[in-house]
Amino acid sequence: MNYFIVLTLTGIAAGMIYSALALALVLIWRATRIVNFAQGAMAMTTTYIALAVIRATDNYWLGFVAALLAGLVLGAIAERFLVRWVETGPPLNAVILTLGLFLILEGVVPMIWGAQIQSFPAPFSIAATQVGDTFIALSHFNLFTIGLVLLVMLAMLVFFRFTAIGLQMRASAFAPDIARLLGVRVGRLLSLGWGIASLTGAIAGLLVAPTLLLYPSNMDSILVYGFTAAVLGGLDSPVGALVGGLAIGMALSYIGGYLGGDLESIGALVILIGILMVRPQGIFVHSAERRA
Amino acid sequence: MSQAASASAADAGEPGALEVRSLSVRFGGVVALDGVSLSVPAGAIVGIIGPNGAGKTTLFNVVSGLVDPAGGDVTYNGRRINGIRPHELNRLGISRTLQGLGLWRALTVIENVMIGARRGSSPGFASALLGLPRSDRYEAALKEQALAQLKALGIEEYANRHPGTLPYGVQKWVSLARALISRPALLLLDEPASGLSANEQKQLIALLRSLKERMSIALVEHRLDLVMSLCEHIHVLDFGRLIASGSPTEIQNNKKVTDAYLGSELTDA
Repeated sequence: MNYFIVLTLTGIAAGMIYSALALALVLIWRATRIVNFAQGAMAMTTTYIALAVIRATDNYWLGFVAALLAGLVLGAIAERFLVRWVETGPPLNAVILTLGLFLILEGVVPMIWGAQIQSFPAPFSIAATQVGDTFIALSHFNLFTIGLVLLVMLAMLVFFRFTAIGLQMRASAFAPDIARLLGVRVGRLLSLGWGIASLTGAIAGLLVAPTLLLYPSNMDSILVYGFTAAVLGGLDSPVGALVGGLAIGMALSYIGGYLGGDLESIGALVILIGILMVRPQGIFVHSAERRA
Repeated sequence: MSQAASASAADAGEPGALEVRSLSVRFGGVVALDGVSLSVPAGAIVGIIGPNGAGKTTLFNVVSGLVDPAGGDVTYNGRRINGIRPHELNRLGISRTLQGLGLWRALTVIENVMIGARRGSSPGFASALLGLPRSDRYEAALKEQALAQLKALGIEEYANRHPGTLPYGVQKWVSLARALISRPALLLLDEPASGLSANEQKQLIALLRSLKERMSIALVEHRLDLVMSLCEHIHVLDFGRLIASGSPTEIQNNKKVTDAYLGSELTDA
């Protein structure tokens, strides 16, 4: 198969994972105007929890569900008991807090599960798919990844557009004080928002581990890619997160394929710096609307 | 969300009574309210007037829990509600509009109104996330309720528009719809007539009179004509103090009131 197409397809599959992490960052940014630098570490933690459950029950899907629930709870706890204290302070406080949470998680997880690299099961084959005589660059697991992330995006869209709680969350993000006057429990919605975001991050963690393996810092580079994707999409737009993730995934795939795999991380940082210099507001944000 | 508070007395549809006793508010060294006592009896339309900076909005802010009083009491239906938190107003049946309207420009008109609905009967987050039928029915009922409220105010044609694209008068009506959808027992209106044309003011007066059966209304205004024709009872604030209370005729003939207004007009000029 044409090398370019192979790179494109693997780029899309990887990009979907960056999209999921970018979406987690975007959800938290929309709700609280905080960039959660602990997002990757939280996803790593929930993936370890999944692994423990999978080993104990010998069932991948139980581990999968455990990771999502752990993500929901971990995010809500982080907001309620940590972030809540710095939300009204200067933005730098929140940055330091999430960085601190990142360091704590990467310190505590190896104390519980060890620091060695572990393999993580995939629910579907990670070998290239064969149709007749030809191999397609995408594995069944890649297809599962793409489908799952698209499903999550769709679920978020429905939740925010068509449910009363989603509506209240959108309203709270724009004007929390007015929402409160109308009876909205803004604090609870913030906890919920962080929970949903880190549930999304947990999905990214589960999708990364089968191919990149599981160790305490396994999400660090993914966080950089996801953050780049989120910034590219404007930090404010779920659709931007999806498109940004795909763009970064493909760009890094081409860089890795044509220039050498060592250059992928550097490539992401170059793209990030480039966006911040040329179009810091991202490509999907209508900044005028935001000032409402 | 818990459903415990949904069966509060306010649900009965009776107008609520508000009373404020020797209320004081300080911002740093500035005294915004100084021992103000006034009441909004059940079923009454009460005007609170005064020149700019007299403390009218501050009074509303204390009642809605946005500002903590330095002293004094706020009671609602005989219950002390000092230190109430803003989100509790909705369950008590108190609605308030804002001077700046405070509509969400990124949301549609009907969405803006839906957020004002009375809390307490909504299904939990889990059913919303899982798309359970109970949740779907709730969304549909909520939407219907919001549409009915828009219809009642004659602005249903704008349901799917964004507030920023509408004339100011219509936006004002939207903010009223958002306050009314919860069927409040007490309605606090902050400068409801500002920015309205003479014709729209007439409509507003007719609307507020028609609401009287179901709710008590307190309105803050500095336009005397509207207050005089609408309110049975008027309280006058000046520099954070209550300088007069009485019927429209009594207020019109009160020397202190005319002085306060003339004084403010001179300094405004």
